[in-house]
Amino acid sequence: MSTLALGIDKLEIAPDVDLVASAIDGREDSFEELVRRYQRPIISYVFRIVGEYEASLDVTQEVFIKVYNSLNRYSRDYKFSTWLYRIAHNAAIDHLRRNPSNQQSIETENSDGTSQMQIESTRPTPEQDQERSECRTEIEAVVKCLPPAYRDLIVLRHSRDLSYEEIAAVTGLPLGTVKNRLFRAREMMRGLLVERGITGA
Amino acid sequence: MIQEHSNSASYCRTADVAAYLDAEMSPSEEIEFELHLAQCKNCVAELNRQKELLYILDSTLHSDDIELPENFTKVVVTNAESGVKGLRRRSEWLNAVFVCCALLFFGLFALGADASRSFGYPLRIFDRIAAVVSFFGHLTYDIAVGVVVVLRTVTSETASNTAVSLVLVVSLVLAIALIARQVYRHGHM
Repeated sequence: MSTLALGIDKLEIAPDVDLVASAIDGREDSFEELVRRYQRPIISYVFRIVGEYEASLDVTQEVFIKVYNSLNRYSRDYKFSTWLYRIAHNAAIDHLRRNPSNQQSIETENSDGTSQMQIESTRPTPEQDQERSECRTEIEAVVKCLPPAYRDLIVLRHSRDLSYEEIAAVTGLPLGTVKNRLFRAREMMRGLLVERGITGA
Repeated sequence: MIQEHSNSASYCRTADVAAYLDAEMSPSEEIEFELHLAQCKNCVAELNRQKELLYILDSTLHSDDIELPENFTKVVVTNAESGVKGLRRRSEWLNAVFVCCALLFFGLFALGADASRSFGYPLRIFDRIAAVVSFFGHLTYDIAVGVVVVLRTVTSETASNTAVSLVLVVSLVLAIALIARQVYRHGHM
């Protein structure tokens, strides 16, 4: 498909690869469409890894700047989303390395409720959904308690719906490691959820 | 077949339960695992436990309802484009240089006679520097041409013997150095 033929009305339905080609050709609205398309998935992913709203905004912005500067290096051998998540994964892990104090433990989660406040601040909860929301908040808090390597896999799989193969491409881990580590991450999650009485499984 | 069933029931790999639920098995692996499930109560119990966990995880984490600041998209795009490093092509940079030079010349042309008054002093300095550089450039070029001519003449006679050529080059350089030294001394006397 000719990138020049990408009309404004077609941007919203254009495949990612066409938008990338068009952005490389200098179409700024094509890159804007890519940002609009992926900003929520990326910030959701980054937020669950990084755990701080403001930091997630910064890291997400950093991700898209890296993407823009590297568009020429994007290979069609990968899905654009996989490539994007790989950049986001690296940026989030770098952030955690630079800010090791942000890695929260179960105790701090329980004592000061920081994560609960952050999550609630992003979405006002209707009263009738309060119980469900509390349960959800608890689960989000449990996810934050996982070691970063496990948390990453849980989020990529259950929040982003990535296949094992895509997770392997994003994290750079062998497929077998992804499979085993994801299993262990789920086991750990189950243990933590049972401890909190969220599930009896 | 009975033998196969007993074989498949003989081991329990709970990690396979996850792969099965995640639809990450090949069709043949799926059939093999289902045969194993039919024989193994442990794996069925594990399957049910994991199903519940997966339901909880998928229903909880599968959302993008994080609030974004207003104009987040525009801010990100603007920052990305203002800090661009790798996207611009070489031709675009050359075009930019060309346009800048054209604007400079146009500006000088528009200034006309005033340009010589405004930029007279720096232009005179530039002119002198250019003359000195040009003189030394010509001098170096002439010496190099002379050396090449002498070398060609001599090396053709000595059947391109590299050792002899090397000796000749060194001799020539020494001779030039001696002449330069004499000239320098003469100038100071």
